[in-house]
Amino acid sequence: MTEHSINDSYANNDSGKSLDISDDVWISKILHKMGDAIILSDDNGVVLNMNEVAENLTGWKLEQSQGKPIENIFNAIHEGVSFPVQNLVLKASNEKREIALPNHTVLLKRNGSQFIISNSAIPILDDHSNVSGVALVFRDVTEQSIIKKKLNESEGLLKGILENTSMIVYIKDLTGRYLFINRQKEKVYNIDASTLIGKYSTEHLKKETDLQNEQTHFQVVRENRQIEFEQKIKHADGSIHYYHTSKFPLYDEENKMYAVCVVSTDITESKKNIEMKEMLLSKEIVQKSELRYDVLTDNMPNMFFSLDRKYRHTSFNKACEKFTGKKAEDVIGKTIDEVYEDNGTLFLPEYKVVMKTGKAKNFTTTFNIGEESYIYRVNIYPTENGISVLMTDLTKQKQSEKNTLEMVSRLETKNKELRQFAYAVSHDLRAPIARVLGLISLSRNDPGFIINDKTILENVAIEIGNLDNVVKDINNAISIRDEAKQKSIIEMENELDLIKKVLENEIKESNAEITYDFSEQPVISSVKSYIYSILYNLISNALKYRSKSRPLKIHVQTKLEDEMIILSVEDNGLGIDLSRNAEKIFGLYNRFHGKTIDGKGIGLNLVKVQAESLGGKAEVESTVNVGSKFKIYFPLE
Amino acid sequence: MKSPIHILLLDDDPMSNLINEKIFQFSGYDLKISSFVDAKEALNFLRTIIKFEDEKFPDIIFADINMNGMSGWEFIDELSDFPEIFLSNCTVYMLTSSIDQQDIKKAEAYEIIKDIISKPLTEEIVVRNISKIIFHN
Repeated sequence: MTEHSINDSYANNDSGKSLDISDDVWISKILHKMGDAIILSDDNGVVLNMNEVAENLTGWKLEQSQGKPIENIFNAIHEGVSFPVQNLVLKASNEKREIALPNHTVLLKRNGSQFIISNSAIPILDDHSNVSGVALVFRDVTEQSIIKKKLNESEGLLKGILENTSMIVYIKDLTGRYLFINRQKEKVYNIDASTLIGKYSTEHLKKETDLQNEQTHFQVVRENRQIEFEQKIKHADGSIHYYHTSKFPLYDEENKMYAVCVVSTDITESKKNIEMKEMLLSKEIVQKSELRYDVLTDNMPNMFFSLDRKYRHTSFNKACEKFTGKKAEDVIGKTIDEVYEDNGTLFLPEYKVVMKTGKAKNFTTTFNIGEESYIYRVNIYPTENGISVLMTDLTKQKQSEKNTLEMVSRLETKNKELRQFAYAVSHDLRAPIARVLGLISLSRNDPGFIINDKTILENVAIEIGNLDNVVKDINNAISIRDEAKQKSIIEMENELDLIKKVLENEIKESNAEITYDFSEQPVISSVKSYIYSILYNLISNALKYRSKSRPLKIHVQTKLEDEMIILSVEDNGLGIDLSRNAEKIFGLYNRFHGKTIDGKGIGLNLVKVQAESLGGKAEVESTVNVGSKFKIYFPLE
Repeated sequence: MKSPIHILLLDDDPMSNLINEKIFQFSGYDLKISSFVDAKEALNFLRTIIKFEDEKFPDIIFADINMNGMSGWEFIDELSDFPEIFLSNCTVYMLTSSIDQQDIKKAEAYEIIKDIISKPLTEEIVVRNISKIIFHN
């Protein structure tokens, strides 16, 4: 750098102003050392001196500039218009004060480059306070300007965001005093930011309301980290909103926490949305399962229907349609009274109880519709809207249960009968055997022993005969029991003739007179062997139980009464004391006239068994010492 | 002189009673035999003895189980109600044509019944049992 001497240039100047040499040198030194650009001019704006920085910024060298007007080398634009720098200089000179360049003045370098400059025109006063010159001091603030512009822009953007967002944003210092409050917070809490900056939140909130805020604030401060949580905030208008709040620390240039920033987002709507979505989803699930439920209830064999609180049908499944003969569409919405004539109110008391108590009721019941009888299991459940009724048909089940029980009962009876039969048989067989043995035992002592006016041998013969009869009876009983029942046409007269031949001896011995009358029913369609056996047993009975005091008369007859054939065998024999023995007569163990007449227990029992197996019954009427009348009933077909 | 042993026979079959009577007679013991075909009559007979004590109460009773009218069991039921003093020296046997398990069980229930015997009564049985009783007395 060449050292200019201001003194030199001034020496040639006729302006009449002079500067001290020592001042000049000192000034010159400063001038050239300064980082700012300086252009020295006289009070008329003629360039006296400039430094290197000025040379760089203007693009003019000193040699070219000296003695020239300042506006030649200082070409500036302000707000698109050429800036009159000379005016600035003159103004400074005249007013003897520093005048600043307006902001955003753009200096045009000689080569076309542009710089944003700042700074001012400063008058230089001599000892007498006269202006000896003006120093135009300026600096390139282009970058700074850009940065500032950008900063302003971003500040503007940020401010725009903060002020226009629906989020609540505020900043507190570490102790909790507000540093910043955005517009949304002002709106929500109905506060004025300007009045609260520097103050605590308790200025506008009750301590209880603010408790969570306080706790979370100090948690951030303590733990030096961001925290997030959901909170309920009551707006100034009274509405309650749900917020998602984020609190986080702010750090300075030295990375030290200096504030806590809070950002809260209103999630009420989205919460509502989520709740609504969940509700819809669960509704959908319910609907799906309702659909499956409907399919199930509609198609199951049980009757299922629902009533609302006013006893109107809300559902009516296919089984109900089938049973009642009514269509669901005709029934839904109508009360039970409207749908059924009188049977709908059948279970009304039970419906009422369930509606009232909310407790289910289950019971089994029998009811009649017309002539039909039904057994149902009824389940009544309370529902949200009223009741549901499930009815399960037990009729068939009960019927088959009944049938099974009946069959079991019959089998038990049969079993009992068989046991009795076996017992009776063994007993009846043994009785004559015992007597024979007894007689033989006696004969050892005295072979010629007379008992009952007969010799022992004669007595034995009688007993063996009895035994034989018993065996014959048993044979009959067994064989007839086992035989398959085949129906055929039976001519009663023929049967009687046959029996009279078989019992010829007994009839002759007893001098019996047998009469008959088959005019009403000469022919029977039934099981031949049974009819034969019955007739044989009854006649044989009559012969055996004849009275000794009068000749035996037997009368056999067939009659038709109420679709039943009655075969009767009447005698004038000993008769039976029915007052004592009514039930036992046809039982297996019946001998009312002493053991001299054997084995008829089986016979009469057989008569009963056979009559019943043909679908009929056996009866007897009798008077002691007058006679008996046995009546056997068979169905006509 | 020792009083004769009093035996009561009860069977609704007169033939059985006859046979049994004869068997006892042939046994050679000094016996008095009362035979009945009807349980009710037998009971009345016994009641008379108790009342008037004109005779010795039977030492042995043979009763048929299966009888028309009042059965052997019913007879024993009535008999059990008689004063102990008369029953204490009385031995009862039930007679039956066929021995049934149930009858055996039933007989066990009655203290007064000594045994069930299958008919016919034979001399051997008679002798065995009577001698037991004689020696017992």
